[in-house]
Amino acid sequence: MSPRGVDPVAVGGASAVGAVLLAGCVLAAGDGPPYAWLHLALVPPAVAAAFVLDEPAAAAADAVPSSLRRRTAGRLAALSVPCGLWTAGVAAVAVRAPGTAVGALLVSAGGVLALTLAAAAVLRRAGVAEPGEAVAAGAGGLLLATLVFAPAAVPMPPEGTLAWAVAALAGALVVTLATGGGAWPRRPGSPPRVLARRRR
Amino acid sequence: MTVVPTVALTGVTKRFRGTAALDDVHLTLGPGITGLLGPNGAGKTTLLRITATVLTPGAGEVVLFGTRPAGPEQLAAVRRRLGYLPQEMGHPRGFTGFGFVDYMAVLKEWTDRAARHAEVRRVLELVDLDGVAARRVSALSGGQRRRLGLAQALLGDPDLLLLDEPTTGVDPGQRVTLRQVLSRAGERSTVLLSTHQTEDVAALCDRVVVLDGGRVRFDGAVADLVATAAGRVWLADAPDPAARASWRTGTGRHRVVGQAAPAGAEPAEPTLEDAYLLLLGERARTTGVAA
Amino acid sequence: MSAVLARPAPSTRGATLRTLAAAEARRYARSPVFLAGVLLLLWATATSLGDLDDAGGDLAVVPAACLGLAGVLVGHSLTRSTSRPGDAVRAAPADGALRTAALALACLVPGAVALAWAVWVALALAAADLPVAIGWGRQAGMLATGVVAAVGGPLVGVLVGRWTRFPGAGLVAAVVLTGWTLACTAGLMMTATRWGTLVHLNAPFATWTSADGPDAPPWLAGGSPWWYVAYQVALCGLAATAAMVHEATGARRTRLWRVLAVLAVVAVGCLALACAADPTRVFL
Repeated sequence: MSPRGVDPVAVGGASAVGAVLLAGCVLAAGDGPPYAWLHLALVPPAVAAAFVLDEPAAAAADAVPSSLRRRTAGRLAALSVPCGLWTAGVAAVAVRAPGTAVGALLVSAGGVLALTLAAAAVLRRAGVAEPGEAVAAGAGGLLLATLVFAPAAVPMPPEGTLAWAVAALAGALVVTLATGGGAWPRRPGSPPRVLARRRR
Repeated sequence: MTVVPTVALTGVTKRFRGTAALDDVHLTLGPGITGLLGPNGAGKTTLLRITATVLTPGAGEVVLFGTRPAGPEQLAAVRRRLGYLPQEMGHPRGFTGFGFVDYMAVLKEWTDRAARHAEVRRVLELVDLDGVAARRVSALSGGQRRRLGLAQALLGDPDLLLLDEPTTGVDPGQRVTLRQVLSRAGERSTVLLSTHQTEDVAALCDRVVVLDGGRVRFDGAVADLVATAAGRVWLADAPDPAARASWRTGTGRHRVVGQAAPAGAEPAEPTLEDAYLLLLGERARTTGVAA
Repeated sequence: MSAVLARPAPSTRGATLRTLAAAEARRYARSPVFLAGVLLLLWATATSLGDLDDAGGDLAVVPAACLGLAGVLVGHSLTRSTSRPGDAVRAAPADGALRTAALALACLVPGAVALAWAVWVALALAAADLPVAIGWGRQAGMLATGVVAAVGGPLVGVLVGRWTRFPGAGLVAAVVLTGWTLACTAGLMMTATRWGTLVHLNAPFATWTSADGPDAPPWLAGGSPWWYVAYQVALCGLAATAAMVHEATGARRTRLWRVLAVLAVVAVGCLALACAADPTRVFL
C-alpha cells in the first residue's frame, strides 16, 4: 500500500502551512497553551484529509481489481506527514506550556480528521471523483466558524474528550463502510443503489 | 482592389522549453473551410491558439483581418470577429447549458439582454441542444458538452471560426448536423478546422493543410492531396508487411497503402486518409490518425 | 435552422463591465457558502442582540467572519470557476482585467448584506437606549469595519484565485487572514501606546474591546476607527488591483502597478493616522 495518486501539492502545501502555524504555536506557548492558534493549525491537516481521496482518474481506477478500500488505505498513508507534524507540534507546545491538554488536542484532531475523511469517502462512494474541494471548504469553514463563534469546541475541554473520541470512531467506521463491500462507487447519472436493488 | 486575407501567418515560430511546436509556418487563409491535419504533437493546437490570440508567437508575424493585434484595443477588435473552440474546455460549475453560453455571450460583449438571449437560443438550436439547454452542464454527455463548446464559438456568427477537434465524442447523426452548420458558416466566414477525422475534412473542406513537426508538409486542395495517393492503394488477399499501412477490412480483404502493389492485388479508390498516411509515412502510423 | 442575427455593435468597456458584473453578482448571491454565511450572520446577530451592551460595535466580528472569511472561499471559487473554459474565455473580447474587475464588483454583494446588517444593528442599539459611552461616531466606525471586511475577504479570494492554482488555496488564504488577525490581538495585551495600537490595528480586521482579566471591566482600545476603516478600504483596493494585474498587459499593466504603489502609500498613511489618534483605553 502506498499513497500513490495523492496530490502532493495539496497534502504538501497543507503540511507546510500547518508546520508554519505550529511553529507559531510553539513560539506563542510561552504565555500558556495557545489554544486559538492550535485550533487554526488544525485547518491545514483537515484540508489535507479532504483532498487525500481525490482521484481524477476515478472512472478508470474504479474498474481495476484493487478495491476502493485497499486504495483508500494506501492513500491514508499520505496523512502521516500532516498528522506527524501535528503530534510533534502539540508535544513541543506541551514542553513550553506544561498545562497543555495534550490528550484532548490529539483526540479532537483525530475526530476532526476522521469526520473530514468520512465526508470525502461518502462523496467518493457517491461517484464524486474529486470531493476534496467541497469537503475542504466545509471542514475548513466549520473549523474557522467554531474558532470565531465557539472557540471552546476545538480543542475541547478534557470533559469533551469522550465526545471527540466517539466522533473519531464514527468517522473511521463511515470511511470503512463507504469504501468497503464488493460494489463499485456509483457513477454519476446511474440510479441510487437502493433503487437499483429494488428494480432487480 | 486587393483582398485582405482573414489570417496571414508569416514565419511563425513557437518553442516550448526548447522544442519547436511551430517552426517557420507561413499560412494565408480566406473565406471557406480549411482542414488542418497532422499527427499528435504536430503543432495544430499551437497554431490555433496563436491564431486565436491567446498565445503569442516566439517569432514571425500574425496578421488578422489586415491588422497586427498588439494592444488591448486591437486585440479586442480582432476577438470581436472570431469564435474559438479549444481542444480542451472546462465549464464553470453550477451553470446550465443556456447559462454557460449566455455567460460566454456576455464576455463577447452582448450587453443587450433580449438580443443576447435570442442569440444564445439561436446557437443552441444550431447545434441541436435547445432541448437540453436547461440542464446543468455537469449532467450533459461528453458529446453534448462538445456541441455546447461549439455553440459558444458560433455566437455572433464570427468572421473567423477556429475549431480544435469539434467532432470528438459526437455521434454520427450529430456529426452530420455539425457538418451542415460548418458548411453554412464556411460560405461567408473563414473556418479553420483542426481534426484527426479525415472524413470530416474530405466532406467539408476545399483546402487542407498538413502539419508535421511544427512545419507545413502540405497546403493545397483536398483533391490534390487525394490525387497523390492514386495508384498506391490496393485491395489484397493478404497483409503486406512492406506497405506503409495494411489492415483487414470488413469484407475480409486487406487494404494496402504503399509504394508497390502486392501480388494479386487490385487497385482501390484512394481516400484522404490514404493520402495522409502516404504523406507522413511511418510517423503517421506510429503517432496515430483516427480512422 | 434559424436566421442569423446581426452581431452586436462593439460595446463600451463600461457597458460590458456592468453586464458581466451583474452576472457575477448573481452567481455570488447563489453561492451555497455565501447563503450559509448569511444564515449564520442572522443567527449570530439575533443571539447577540439579546445581550447588548454599549460595546455593541464589536459585533462587527459577525459579518467579518460570516461574510468576509466565508467570502474568501466564495471569491476564490468563483474566480477559479470562470477560468475553467480556459482558452475560450481568453479569446473573448472581454479581457482578463475586465473579467477580474467584474468579479471584484460582485464582491459588493456581501458588502450590501453587511451594510444592511450594520443599519439593523445600529437601529437595534438606538432602540435599546443604552448609555453610549464611546459616542455614536466611534460606534458607527466600529460597525463599518465589519462591512469593509465583508467586501475585503471575497476580494482576497479573487486575488488568490487569479494568482494561484493549487487546490485549497482559498482556504489557506482564509487561514492566513485569520492568523494575521489573531496575531494582531497581541497589540491588545501590550501597554496603551501608539506602538501597541500599530500592532493591534495593522490587521485586516480588528476587534476593539478587551479586558485585563475574566472579572476585570472591559475597555475600548485606542486609535481611530474611521481611519482604520480607510486603511481597510485601501487594503481592499490593493487586493482588487493586484488581482487585475495578473491578466493585464502592456500599458494597462504598468498603470495598474502605479495604482498599486499609490494604494500601498495610502494604506500606510491611513494606518499611521489610525494609530496617531489617542492610544488611551476607555473603560466601559
